[in-house]
Amino acid sequence: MGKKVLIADDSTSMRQMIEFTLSDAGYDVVQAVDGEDAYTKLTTDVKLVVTDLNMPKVTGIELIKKIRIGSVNKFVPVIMLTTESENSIKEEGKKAGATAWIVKPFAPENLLDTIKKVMG
Amino acid sequence: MKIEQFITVKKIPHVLQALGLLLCIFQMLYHFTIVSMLILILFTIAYIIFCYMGITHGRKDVRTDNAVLMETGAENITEKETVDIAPLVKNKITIFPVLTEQLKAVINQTDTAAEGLITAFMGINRQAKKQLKSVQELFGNISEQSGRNTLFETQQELQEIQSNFSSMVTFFDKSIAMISDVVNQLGKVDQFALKIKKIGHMTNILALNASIEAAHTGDAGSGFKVIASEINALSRDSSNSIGEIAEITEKLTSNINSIKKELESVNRDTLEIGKRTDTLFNTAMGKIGDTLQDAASKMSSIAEDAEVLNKDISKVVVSIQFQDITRQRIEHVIAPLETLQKEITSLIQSAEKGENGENGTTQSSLSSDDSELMEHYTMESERDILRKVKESSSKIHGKV
Repeated sequence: MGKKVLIADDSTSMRQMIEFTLSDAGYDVVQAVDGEDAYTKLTTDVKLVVTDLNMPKVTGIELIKKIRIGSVNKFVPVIMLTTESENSIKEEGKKAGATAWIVKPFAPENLLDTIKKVMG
Repeated sequence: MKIEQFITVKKIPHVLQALGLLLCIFQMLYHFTIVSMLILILFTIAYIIFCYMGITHGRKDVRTDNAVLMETGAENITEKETVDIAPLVKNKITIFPVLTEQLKAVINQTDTAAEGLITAFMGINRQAKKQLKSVQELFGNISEQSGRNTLFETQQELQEIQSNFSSMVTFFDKSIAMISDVVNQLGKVDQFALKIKKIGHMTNILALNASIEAAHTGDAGSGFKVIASEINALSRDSSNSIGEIAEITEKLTSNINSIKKELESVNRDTLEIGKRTDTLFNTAMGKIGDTLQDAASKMSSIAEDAEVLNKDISKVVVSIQFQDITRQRIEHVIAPLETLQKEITSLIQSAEKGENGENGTTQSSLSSDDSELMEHYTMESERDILRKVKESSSKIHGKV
């Protein structure tokens, strides 16, 4: 059993791509279609959350805030996927409690590298 | 500008046109003079000027009273027409949901296509890795890190067999040498037997002579006669034994020589087999070596190809992600379009109720919309476009 990673993205293709990449690297992946869905699927055994920024219902930033103030798994590392490299967005994510971020589009290897760095 | 005033201005060219037409008919019916021709030309010029004035007034009115509609490109709309534009626009905005639905359909289609592409390419990548692993397992790990593979083991076993052949040859050589030694020893035994046989013969003669001498002696030699007889008997036994020993030795020598011949034959065969094995071994080793080198080279090539494929697929995966970015950008167009539709509907409703823009319901502030869009956009590229359009729009407004 690999480490469990929760991915939240409203794009099916992005979820698919991330799942392929992570499962090939030995991770167990749980998919969520938006922030709200992700929060309901967050369990104590989730070792990492990878979330998109722009999602319906609950956005990536809102999800991070919910995780950090919640009691389920508040210290879980969160990697934010953004289509924007602007510093203000990064700062907003950082302020909300994001551990790291990756700017789309990204190569699967970059995602794995970032995950390794975050998970140690 | 009042509607009545505008209608008056707009009617002048038509009046002039009618007068000019009458003048033409008059000329045709009566005399065509230069004066009447000049009057006709003046009428025409006046008609053109008034036509131009009518258009200019219309434009100014629209810009002053309905800047939003001017922005949509309705340049030829006059004030008279703006009063009747509500149902027209009402009909036109029904296209908004169609357009937004079309855009959503585009998103769905591209999403499905991107998902299919991602699945296919990641599948290809996974398959390539799997095949590479299978090839590595099939040939064994031929990399420099490990020598544990079937081909290397076979090479080692062949070397062991060759070594065993050499040992066998050595063993046969030693065995033959030992057998030769035994045959030599048996030859010595034979020589001893011959000597003993001669001694026996001599003893027999002596015993015979002793018996003769004992007979000459008479009764006094009877005891000696018995001894001579016993010696004679011993000599016969000895001769018989020697004969048996010689016979046994001969058989032994013959048998051992046969064994020696067999061993020599086996040794020759072994040597021959050894030579052939050596040749085969060297050939096999050469082939194995070539195969190993070839396999290693192919493995390296396959690994490189897999690496290139992996990189290419990564590039494809990166490119496919632009679909997600495009999707978001389209969504960022859909949302303002839906808002715009609601605002225009609200404007129409206000116009139908007879309200004007002054009460604020029809005044959709452009600057306010800009800031909303700026907030709405999440990509710097989107904001750049907005800024550029805004700058361009400001320049046009400045010129007007």
